[in-house]
Amino acid sequence: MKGSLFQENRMADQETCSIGGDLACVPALNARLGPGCVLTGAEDVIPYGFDATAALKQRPGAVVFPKTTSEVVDIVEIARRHRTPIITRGSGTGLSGGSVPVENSIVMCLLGMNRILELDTRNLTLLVEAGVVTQDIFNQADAAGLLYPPDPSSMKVSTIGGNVAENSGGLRGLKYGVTRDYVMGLEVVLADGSVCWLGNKCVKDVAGYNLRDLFIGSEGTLGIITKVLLKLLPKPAARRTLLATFGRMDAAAETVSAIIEAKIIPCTLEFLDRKTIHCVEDYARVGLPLDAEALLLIESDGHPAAVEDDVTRIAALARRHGAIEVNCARDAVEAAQLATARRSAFSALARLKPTTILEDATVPRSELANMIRSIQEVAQRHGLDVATFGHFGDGNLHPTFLTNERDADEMRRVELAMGEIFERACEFGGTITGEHGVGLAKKPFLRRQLGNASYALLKAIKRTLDPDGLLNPGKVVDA
Amino acid sequence: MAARKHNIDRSRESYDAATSALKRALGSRVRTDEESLFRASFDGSKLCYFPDAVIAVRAERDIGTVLALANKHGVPVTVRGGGTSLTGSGSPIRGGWVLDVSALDSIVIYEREGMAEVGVGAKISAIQKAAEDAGWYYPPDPSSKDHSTIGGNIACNAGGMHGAKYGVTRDFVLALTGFLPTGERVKWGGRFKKFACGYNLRDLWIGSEGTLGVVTSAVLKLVPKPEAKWTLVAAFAEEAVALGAVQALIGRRLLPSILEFLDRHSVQCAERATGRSLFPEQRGKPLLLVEIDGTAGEVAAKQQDVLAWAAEHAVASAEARTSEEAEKLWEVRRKCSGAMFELGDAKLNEDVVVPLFSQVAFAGFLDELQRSSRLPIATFGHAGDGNFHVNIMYHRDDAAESKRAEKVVQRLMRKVVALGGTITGEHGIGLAKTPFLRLDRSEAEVRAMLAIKHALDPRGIMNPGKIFEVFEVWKHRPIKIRLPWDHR
Repeated sequence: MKGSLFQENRMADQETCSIGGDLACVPALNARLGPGCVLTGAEDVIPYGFDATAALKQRPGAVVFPKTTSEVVDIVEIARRHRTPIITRGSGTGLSGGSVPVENSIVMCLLGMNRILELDTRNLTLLVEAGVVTQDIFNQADAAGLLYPPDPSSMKVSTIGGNVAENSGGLRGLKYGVTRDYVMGLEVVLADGSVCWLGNKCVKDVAGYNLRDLFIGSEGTLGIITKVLLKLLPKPAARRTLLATFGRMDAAAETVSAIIEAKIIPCTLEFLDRKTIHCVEDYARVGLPLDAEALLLIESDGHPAAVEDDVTRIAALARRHGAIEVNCARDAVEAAQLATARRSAFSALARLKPTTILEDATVPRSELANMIRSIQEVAQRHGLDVATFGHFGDGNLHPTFLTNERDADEMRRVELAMGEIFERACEFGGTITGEHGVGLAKKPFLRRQLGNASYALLKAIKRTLDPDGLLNPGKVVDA
Repeated sequence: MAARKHNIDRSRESYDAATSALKRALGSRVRTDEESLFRASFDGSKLCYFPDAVIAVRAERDIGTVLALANKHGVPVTVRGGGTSLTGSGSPIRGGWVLDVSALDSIVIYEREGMAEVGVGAKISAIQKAAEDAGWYYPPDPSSKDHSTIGGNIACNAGGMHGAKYGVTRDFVLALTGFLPTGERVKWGGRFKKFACGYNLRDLWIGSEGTLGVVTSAVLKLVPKPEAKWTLVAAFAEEAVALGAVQALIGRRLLPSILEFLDRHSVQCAERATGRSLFPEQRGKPLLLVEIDGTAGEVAAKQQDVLAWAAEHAVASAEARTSEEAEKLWEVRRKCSGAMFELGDAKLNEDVVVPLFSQVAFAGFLDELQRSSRLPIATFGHAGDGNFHVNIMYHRDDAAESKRAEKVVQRLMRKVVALGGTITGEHGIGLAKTPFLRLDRSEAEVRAMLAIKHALDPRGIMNPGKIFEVFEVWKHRPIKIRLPWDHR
């Protein structure tokens, strides 16, 4: 990989950045939104210059907080007139730099569009504005006896708009799929200022091209998502959580394959390696076994009869494939503790070193053990500290580099290691990102992943829907 | 199926020179004999347009060759699998070349991973059988499954009876390989479930009816084969009661694997066709067919719930304990469609969708529509996902009836859109639904679709004339031919 992503973007930090008030469109934005909804002060805009991705930041020219779709449309119009780029953002929990601004841009923060518009308990849908926090969606559904399954680790903070823009996954992906699988409709403001409603409350719809799915995962580069119609499910009547401890990582990987091969699809099949186990236990104190090489957190849900059956079979399979210990959570409280512990893995690891770089390589399930070995070998060779956890059931791994962005030499080695890890993921028939998106961080690897023809087509689509390159420019592909 | 003399439209452009070049490149794989051209000239809609050549694709690279030449000479290309589409999406209305991909029919089951990698020409029933032999299950099952190919199912995002619980074709496609209209080979996704890598062209291809490229193979997700199944058929006093009972069943959060509705016309047609009635005391009453699947314990528990529900809402019911008994119950659903031609010699076959809880209102509307139009309208369909097959029967040579039938379609489409539904749930737009696309989709959305079409297919060679250009199907006469999947 040539070019240094981190160097380049760090160079563009504070010193070289112009002060926001210089943006020519600020008076028009003030006039339309009222001054309270437009930030331009140097200190005020700094918090909107980065997301959860390590080492990427750029101060924007202005930050705006629209409250309605029509305000979004007007902001787009103003930005078009002044040829000023717009970067849409929610809570900024992205892990690929998808919402890191460019110089002299408008950051459009949708946190003010946080109304829950309609809970339809008969058709099992929920209509929300893009700035609603994912956890609030889960809670609304839960209170009505329903389930919104996608549960990215950041769900307490992240917004549904961001989840849709990145097509976020989560712990329940194996059985329930990802955000895409629950989006029935979208309201999108296009780069020309027109508003499109894509989708409806119907389970089936084949009238014309599926634009909805094109906008899902497009990382704010093709349009601005302002409303989302979500599908909800009946809440499963029963749920059981298992914790299986392994002395060898291979045994954990084999157990996962054996479970799937036995045609059991648990809703969660999470993996934690030794380093992650230690960090999480140190942070959350839930009694994880510290002598384990690998740990599987398994959750089965559904009809009570089916769940009991699954849990018994899973426990037997884990033991047969070398689990040292298999424990069932005694009650819902203990199960919730375990899930929370897993969710805290990123935060726990982030305490160890100043910079945490969380990656997102995904491989076919059969290659999991090989991929983890590759990660460990690459990290060791480059003298790096790496912890790995992730969604084993989906083949989606989160190798996490514990590093320090001020150590230029170490960052260079991290970058080399990341390149090698992505290369290995591709060789194993996998992908460079399963749920975090391309953003800025994975841009250098995208062409390798997609091939020239597909890569060129992505550019063509970007140019078609955003001919002036105003929407989140420089992310995913350069038009 | 015998070839007959048909009038070939000679007013359109001639692609003779291009076809000669194609023959030089691919030799005997290029067919131009009358029989081959006729067989590729229509789909399940029986709208017949002769192509200039048919290419019997033997290897993927043939497709690249064909597309490169088609782009150079501006020749329309229509991809063809089983030819079962009901909208004319497979009829080569602008002539040109038909790519017959039915020979690319490989099926590989990845038993350990619960996935299948299939060639685009693989038949749905063959995929299902291969999956089931390995203990897995591929749920999408359009009624054409013995004849239709996975490529056609992907191109039209085919549904089927299991949609409410399991979803449609889109929900089972993990990855696609194929060619862009410009002839370049591309691959979206792989043998894994998560993919957040650049724009999602995979889902854009799915349902694009062969207008954005050519799929050559797909990776499909499989699910564990359900351990047990149980079927119940129940008769109701009238349509609105049956559809109200659907809402009650959904309210019980039972999530049946199948929930099929038949109105009284459909039931009566089936009764005449089979010469018997499921409920001799309640002849000709609307029916619901309910199937529950899952583990044995789950099915046993849910069964009690469904029986209680039937006791509350139905006038009669019967359950199937064995697959033979279930087969008998299903006969009524399979026979009803073909039997409808007793009601008229022409059928406008729509597949509209309304939100689940608008179904009762929709039943009332259909009632009123029959009375005011004085045409028999037989409706059956997938009540679990609000997807109705509305069959407007009329006599083609009766000018007044034909006019009324056209009016009925117009009113039907306006109504479903007003109810928050959509004009097509599983058949696609093709030719037949083109007059209504802009009723359902906003100008901005259609503009975006056309811009994407242009970005992918700058010369407009892929399946031209479909989706976007208005074609008034009621003004066109289908050919008289009996297809292998016709019910009668």
